[in-house]
Amino acid sequence: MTFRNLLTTADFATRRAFVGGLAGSLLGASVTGAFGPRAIAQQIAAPGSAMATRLPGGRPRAKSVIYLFLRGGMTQIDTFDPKPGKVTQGPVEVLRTRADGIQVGQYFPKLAQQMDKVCVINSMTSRQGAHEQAQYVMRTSYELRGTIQHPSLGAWATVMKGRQNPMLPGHVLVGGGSEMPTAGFFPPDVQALPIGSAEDGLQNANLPKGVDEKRFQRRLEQLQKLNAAFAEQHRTRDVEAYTKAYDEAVKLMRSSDLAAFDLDLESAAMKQTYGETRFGQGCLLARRLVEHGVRYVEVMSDGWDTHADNFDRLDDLCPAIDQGLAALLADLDGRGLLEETLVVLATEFGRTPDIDGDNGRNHYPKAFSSLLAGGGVRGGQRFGKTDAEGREVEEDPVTIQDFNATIGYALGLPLDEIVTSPSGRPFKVADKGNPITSIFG
Amino acid sequence: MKQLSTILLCSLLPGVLFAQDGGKGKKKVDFATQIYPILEKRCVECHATAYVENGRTKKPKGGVVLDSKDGITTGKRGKLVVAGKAADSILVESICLPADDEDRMPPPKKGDPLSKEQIELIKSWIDDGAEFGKWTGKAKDGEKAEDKPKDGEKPKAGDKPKSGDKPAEKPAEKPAEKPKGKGSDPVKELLAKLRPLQDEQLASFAAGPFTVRRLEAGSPLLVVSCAGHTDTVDDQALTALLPIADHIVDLDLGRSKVSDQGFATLAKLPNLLRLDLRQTAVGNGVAALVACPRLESLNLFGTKVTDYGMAALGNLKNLQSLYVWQTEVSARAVMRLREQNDGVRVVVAPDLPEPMTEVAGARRR
Repeated sequence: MTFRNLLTTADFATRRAFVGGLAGSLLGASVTGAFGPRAIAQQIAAPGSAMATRLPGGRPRAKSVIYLFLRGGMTQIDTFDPKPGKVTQGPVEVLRTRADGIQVGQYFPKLAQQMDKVCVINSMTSRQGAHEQAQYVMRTSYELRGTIQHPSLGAWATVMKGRQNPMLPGHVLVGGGSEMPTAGFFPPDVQALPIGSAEDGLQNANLPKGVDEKRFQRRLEQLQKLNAAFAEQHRTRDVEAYTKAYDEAVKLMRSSDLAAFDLDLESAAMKQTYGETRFGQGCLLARRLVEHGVRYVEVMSDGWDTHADNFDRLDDLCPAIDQGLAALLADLDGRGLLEETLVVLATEFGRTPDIDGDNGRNHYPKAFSSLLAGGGVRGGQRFGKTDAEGREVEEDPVTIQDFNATIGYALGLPLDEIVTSPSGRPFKVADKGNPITSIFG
Repeated sequence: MKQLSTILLCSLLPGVLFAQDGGKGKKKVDFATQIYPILEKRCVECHATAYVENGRTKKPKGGVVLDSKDGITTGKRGKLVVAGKAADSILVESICLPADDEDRMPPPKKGDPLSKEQIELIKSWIDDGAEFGKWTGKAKDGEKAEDKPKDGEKPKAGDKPKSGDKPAEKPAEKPAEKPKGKGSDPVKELLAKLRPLQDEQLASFAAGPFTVRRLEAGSPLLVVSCAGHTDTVDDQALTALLPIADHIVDLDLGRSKVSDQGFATLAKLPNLLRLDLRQTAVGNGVAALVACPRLESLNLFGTKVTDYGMAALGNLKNLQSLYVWQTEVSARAVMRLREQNDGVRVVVAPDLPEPMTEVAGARRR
């Protein structure tokens, strides 16, 4: 396959991997994902195009989003929609929290102290009960289709609002999940930058051993010479994106903002405050990135598919979340960043109210829970309600699209704006979702 | 049935005894005044609804909860109380075990068994139908019994986990969040006053250290940040903002090189709503911000501001959030500020969770 074929036929992810590998091998630079959305942003937010986001409830407050995703399907009854005294509750105790009327499962004693900052949404509902499809809808607001790849909410935010910090990618994905779509049909330069492990930070961002600045510069010039003719002949957005990725990577290598990725600059005490777990350190990295102006940070936590031994599994899974999220909320607040950062805890679906023979709970998209905090959301409240045993949504159902629209609303994204994909199909940030405006202010 | 733990301090209130003896068969035993005091004194220490204290969860022993109606009537391992049948009630069984039985409640190490009179009282309450009357549940220490939660399900202010070790911080939680009733929405006011700037004018900033963006598409209001160029933005660089001074409502100078000299320029941004100076060298120069009367949020985290600078901020009547963690600002200065502006929420220090010591299973994920 020729280079040209590769560029025109492969999907973005493949091209990305190719570009990344090439950059890595030639330069020792890692290609830092999401770059230069300005051109598209301007195209989309052309003057006069949309004041449509002005909904009642105030002005957009959030500049950044930290999106914590519990993959596998977080059980709602054992966590944020407890049903004490009911048969569906099982053996899990319930804790009072700092917020009136909000209780959490026994696994969250530290988060209980921060619930005055959190809005619990108990009425999430969807019809998608398969992991891959459900995760896809959560991230993109659209159903998984064979014919198109939709952008994730992080890509929409990067494209529509641009980057706050021009040196850093607009969208970073911590702790896995990079097989999921991010840029979708947007140009590959808004692809999320994947960070495999928070503790390792951004790999290959320093000059390789034995290569000094001068030599590095010579190599870059040589590369440009080699590429020039090709770039001239093939002026596609992908070639441009490829070139830009190099420029941006080099810019970042020389920027002091590279420090955003370095957890070694945090004290040992601060690391322990977030908990020395993958998730906890992911939260700490997310805080650093937001401090440096990254627009959208996702942190993944795996292992929530608790079909068997649900309660034992929760003993293992929850402490990292309890510690990490409690620390994140308190720390962001202390730094004055919580009011401009929307923190989201989400999952692809809930788990059955009934406990099966294996002491497990199974997939249950009909009624589940998620959390929102900061970014103008009023803390210490619950939105929506399930029935006494947690089987059905009783009040204020929130679809996945509504939920994503709410995140977009917090950021001030133009929700009604129709963006046409390269294949000529119309799409919106959160499809037909309506934001929950009443939880703001 | 091992665990109805509690205690007997056999000092039963004589009045209660009297009522019981005298009224047997005629007057029903009243739960709130006759039974609950016994439970509260001898049982609830170990059998309260799970709560958090100093970051640690206190769970009821054996899952037996005796401070809520639900707890008393259900129980995790069987019926603690079977209305009308004292003999079938686990509660009665466990308080009636021999004094030296290790399953006896309250447990031997917690003291003597309940007195005969107390046991009789409880039995007759159950035999009478185990009614709770007006009693609906009780907060842990019995503090604020007047507005107790229903069925122990809904917590309330008085139930708050106490973190006795953190005084001084966060005064104004609730009132601060609400926009003030008096003034109208400042954004609306400004939208009425200002016309959108031309795209070309905004584009001219692309080469400089500031990212200038509209609050929303087509809006005259601007959000400005120096992220990415914190190394080069100093007091001098700020003057580049003067041509668009009236339009800036949100300015992020966090981690930049600005210092107190920069306030000469900042004081010329009359419509600022949010100003972020976190982790800069600014100090008591903040007093100059009285020239920005609309200011709603001021971030001075990790700056050199002291009580002296704080004194002037009382004049910012629209201020809703002020962040002074990692500064030398004292609790007294915060109190004085709040006397002048009771709507301001001052974050002196966040209530960070205790560090995670044992990583146990969590590490694996």
